[in-house]
Amino acid sequence: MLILSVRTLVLYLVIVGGLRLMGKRQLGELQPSELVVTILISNLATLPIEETSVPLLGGVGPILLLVCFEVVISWISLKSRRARRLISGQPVTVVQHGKIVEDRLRDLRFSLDDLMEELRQNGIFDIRDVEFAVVETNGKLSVYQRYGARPITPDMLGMECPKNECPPPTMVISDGELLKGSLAACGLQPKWLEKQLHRHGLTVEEVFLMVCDRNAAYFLLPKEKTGKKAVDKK
Amino acid sequence: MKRLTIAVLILVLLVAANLYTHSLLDKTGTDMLQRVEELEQLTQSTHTADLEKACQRLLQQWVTTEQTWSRFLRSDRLEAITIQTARLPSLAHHGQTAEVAAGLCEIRILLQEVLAFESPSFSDVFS
Repeated sequence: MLILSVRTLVLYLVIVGGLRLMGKRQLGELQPSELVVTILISNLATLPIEETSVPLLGGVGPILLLVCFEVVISWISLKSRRARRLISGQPVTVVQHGKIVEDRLRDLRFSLDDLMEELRQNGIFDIRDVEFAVVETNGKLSVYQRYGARPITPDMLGMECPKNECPPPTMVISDGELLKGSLAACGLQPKWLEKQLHRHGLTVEEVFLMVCDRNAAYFLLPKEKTGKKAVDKK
Repeated sequence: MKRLTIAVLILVLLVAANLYTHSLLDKTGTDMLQRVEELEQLTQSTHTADLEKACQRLLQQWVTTEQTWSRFLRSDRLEAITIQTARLPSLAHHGQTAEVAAGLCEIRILLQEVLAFESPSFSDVFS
């Protein structure tokens, strides 16, 4: 039993390390080659755990080989458009100028139900609102709506960007822990934070959540045990 | 670029490790086969004491070899050899030379099978 636990731990560390090496893309939408690698890794990892007659290196070796191979293939496809097309395929336009391209849908074995489902997931319930729809290499549908159906943007209304417009707020205190990097990113000093907390009779340890932006506007949520209310300073 | 460098380094390490284990397997396997052949010749003579000592040495050599091999080979494939090798000293002690000879023959075939299976040939990849 102990040997199984140790082997499982080693394999866990190898797979986590491997996925970290493959990068964040692996955790989101998968390209075909990435999907293959993920399936193979999960199968390879179970072998040395299930069967103690299989040496640990028999699992670790192929996993590392697949991970490294995937990184090299990703690099090649990053450098070469041709390789990228060969490995990941290319996006296919299935709705062009508001018309469904039936041949392409058939080629992709994408039924009308699939198309409608993907459109609904994009928040579009009427096919007439679609100007272009593209099936991406990861199988997701990207939609470009016709002019009349697009959401109104400030640009359409000719509105100018407000002067105090700034990046979204960032978390500066998380469960009683000060995130110094985030505070610096907001262009604020620890002294300013101390002053604000002091005003509300709080310490860093008593704050559950505090988000702040570059205009020094913040939202402060004290821990329940303090019995204090949330503060929203615009 | 950093990821690629790490990946290439690991790939190089894996290739080096594969080459090392292959040469190690080849060397230790050839030594074992040589020892088995020597023993097969000893079974022709009538000195059972010498044969028993030689079988003991073979067993010791196999124990060391198995420890090394089990790091990169499935241990269930090595168990058959272990069982056969462990029987030999006792058989030799009781003067059952024919049984020893048969056992050695089986060990030789099992060893050759392991070595042949691990060598990267076209037929092994698809078998």
